[in-house]
Amino acid sequence: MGMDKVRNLFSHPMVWYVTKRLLQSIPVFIGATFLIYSLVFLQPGDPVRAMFGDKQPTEATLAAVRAEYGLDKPFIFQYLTFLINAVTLHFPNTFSGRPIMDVISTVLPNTLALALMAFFFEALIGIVLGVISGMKKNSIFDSVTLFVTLLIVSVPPLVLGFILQYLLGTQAKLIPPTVGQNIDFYHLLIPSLILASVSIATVVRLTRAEVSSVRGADYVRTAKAKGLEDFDVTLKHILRNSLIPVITYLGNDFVALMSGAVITETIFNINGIGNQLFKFITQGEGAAVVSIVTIFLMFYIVCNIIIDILYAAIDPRIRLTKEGV
Amino acid sequence: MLKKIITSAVIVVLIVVAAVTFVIYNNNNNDTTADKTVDPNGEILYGSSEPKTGLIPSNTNETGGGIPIDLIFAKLIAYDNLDGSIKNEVAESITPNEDLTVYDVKLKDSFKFTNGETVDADSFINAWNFAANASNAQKNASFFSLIKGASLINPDDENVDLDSLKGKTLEGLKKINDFEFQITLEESSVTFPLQLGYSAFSPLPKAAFTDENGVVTDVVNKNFGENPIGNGPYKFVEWKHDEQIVITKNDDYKGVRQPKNGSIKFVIYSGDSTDTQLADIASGNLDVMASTGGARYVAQKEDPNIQWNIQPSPTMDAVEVPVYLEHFGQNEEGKLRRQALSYALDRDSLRNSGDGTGKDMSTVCPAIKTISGCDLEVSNKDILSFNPEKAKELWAQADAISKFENPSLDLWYNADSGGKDQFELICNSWKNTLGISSVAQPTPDFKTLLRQRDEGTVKGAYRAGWLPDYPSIENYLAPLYMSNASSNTSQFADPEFDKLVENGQRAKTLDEANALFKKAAEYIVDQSIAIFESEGTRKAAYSLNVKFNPEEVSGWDGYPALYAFEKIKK
Repeated sequence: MGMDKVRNLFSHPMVWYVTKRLLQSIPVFIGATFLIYSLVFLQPGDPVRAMFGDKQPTEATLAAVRAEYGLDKPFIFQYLTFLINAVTLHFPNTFSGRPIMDVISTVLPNTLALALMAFFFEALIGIVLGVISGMKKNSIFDSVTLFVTLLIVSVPPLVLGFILQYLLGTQAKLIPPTVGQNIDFYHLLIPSLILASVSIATVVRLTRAEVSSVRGADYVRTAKAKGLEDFDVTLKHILRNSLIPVITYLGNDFVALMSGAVITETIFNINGIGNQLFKFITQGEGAAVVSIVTIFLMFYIVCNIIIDILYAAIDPRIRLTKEGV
Repeated sequence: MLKKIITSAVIVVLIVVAAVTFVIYNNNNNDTTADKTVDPNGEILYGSSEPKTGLIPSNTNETGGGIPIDLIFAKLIAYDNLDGSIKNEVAESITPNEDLTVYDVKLKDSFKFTNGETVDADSFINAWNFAANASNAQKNASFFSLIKGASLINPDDENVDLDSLKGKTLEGLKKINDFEFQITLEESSVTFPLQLGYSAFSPLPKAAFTDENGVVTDVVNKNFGENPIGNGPYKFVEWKHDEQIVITKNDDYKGVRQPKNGSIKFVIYSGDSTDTQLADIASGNLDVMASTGGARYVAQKEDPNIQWNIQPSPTMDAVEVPVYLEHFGQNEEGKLRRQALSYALDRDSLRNSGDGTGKDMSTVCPAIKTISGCDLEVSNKDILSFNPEKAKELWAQADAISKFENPSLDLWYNADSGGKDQFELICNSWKNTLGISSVAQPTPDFKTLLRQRDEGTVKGAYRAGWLPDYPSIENYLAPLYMSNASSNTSQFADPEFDKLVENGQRAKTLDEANALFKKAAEYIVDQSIAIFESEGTRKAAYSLNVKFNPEEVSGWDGYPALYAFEKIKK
């Protein structure tokens, strides 16, 4: 009885599809975690010796500290210990004695909030500007938009961040200069815009290119000839057909936003995952680095699955010709 | 087409101009607080970093955890920032014997931990034994190396069986009665009391050694680090990881460092950016910041929203030339070359390329009133100043002994120090004065450079720096230049120099010691093992919400004495 139910469940193409993708990701996990663990381990310099700075500890103290962090075992042993523990969901402690999962669960929501807001702005501003530019190609609006977005994307977020923090925050007192513990819409407004700034130009251009090429298509002319309102035409026909490359870009960009947020996080004092990752890397904490990378990998895979599902939702051709997807 | 381009460009320019005008127009300056009444229970907000370990005094060697711990615990002595002396804190008296090898410590009976326990001899003895024993893996174990028996429980041997050390104690600590104990040292030291104010020497309550089952062991319970119980001017309230640490005034504390405020909140910043902290200072979200970089200071020194406090910095910045480098050995040629390098360093340019503050050194450490012995100028201090003619002359003399035909004298530094400009300037200085090739070579990070320095494989000169552990010139001489000393990376070993330092250590009074240390300093300056840069400054920034005495709030270690800040009532 139970087996029948399971078989029925799996015969649904979506469930089978998602399961297949998840299974495919296991070798990716193992490969990526091994690679990154090795990279952290292979960094020159001794993380334990570095904890003492210019002061020299005795060999006995060094040996004791190493033993405490499990760093006295050979590399393969350390990696396998980590892998086995990870599978049983026993993530280790960081060098400062806190469980890694504690650290991640405190900082991940902050970065997620920032990245989601940036994503929202990137998508909204990018697509809207892109559609208008694409519809009115070579108009003044189009030229100004292209020029301004080019200007914004050519200023690195580091520079843009400090400038806006100084001018709008410290000088004009229009925005709070740092975020700190205030993770809310008002405080995250400028940081998320800065984070999105790099991608907005790409989204605008992508949308613009797609929209202007779809605009010239036969079926659009037919729809207009049929008497459909311009707005309806835009929404139903043009937008749906232009969005596929844009969605691909946006989906992949989300994880990039999360990891790239480290600079914005530093400038505006947001306690996010980028900062923690940077600290762990410089301190040589292989287990912590790989734990965080695992989280990123999971997000990446989930995003890709969502993109695929969205394709199917937007483009009926993909949905209807599904044969073992 | 052209019309379109021009119109677009004009629109963009108009937008930008409007934005800038709007921002400048809105630049409303905070009027300086006319109302200066002080709130004795105010909270001081200090920009800090997340502690790298739990708040356990013997294991904390960085400022994120170190500054809170320093305020939560009272040690045998405390440092007075106004007159640069040390004052007895928990100690009633610290009396040395004839040859300064045994110190008798009598304690006041009036100090209590915040859980009611009395601070007694055991509080110190148990804490120090725990810290000094290598099997406990405490990072500050080496601070006890002067005490007799330390090398037995913390040997310089990587193959030692750590388990066999468990439970062993320092031979040199002897309890006389509940409020008296004796410290026997490995060798004479007149400066030993100066060390006792450092947090590693904090006492601990029995509660620290009590495990989950209520059993008192000889090992500190790790949970104590999340909730430390101390006897100092402040008591611990909370620690929200990566967010903040809060401590409030301890009303039972009767010691020397009386708080002038009600509580201190350590605001934990996620990155290393001092610019971010400065933005918060200027907008009043933060009260005190330990120091900011030179460029930031230059840019914002006229900012009416920031109170600056420029004090000399105890950091020693130098470039070391190791004696294992060809042509720079411990001989006449090496000495001539090294002195030449020191004369050839254009320190004025170095300072002007930074923030323009600072001056030439006049001994091996910056002349700070609160560091004993550093205000005595050495007789050969001209070596520490720029003199290109002398440099060329000495280099030529060295060439006469053995011609310098190496392709280059490189300067190695760690790229994550942010000092690229400074080191390139030093190399150029040498290049221009001495006509040799010199290139600034970065290693990717500090730990790489550290490894090369420790292993003696640096292929040139390298960046060396020092932060004192205790306020004495001895700490700028002994660990760096004595034979086989713990932080001697240049591999300089000269029994004559060793003797000069030991003479100072055996002096009967600090003044005598400092006169003898001066001779040792002159010896090192003559050898120019370290080519000293400049006396630096700490540029501390405070918001308009605090009132302070500039000297009183500046600790000898370059960090602010937070208990001495007053908060202004809003």
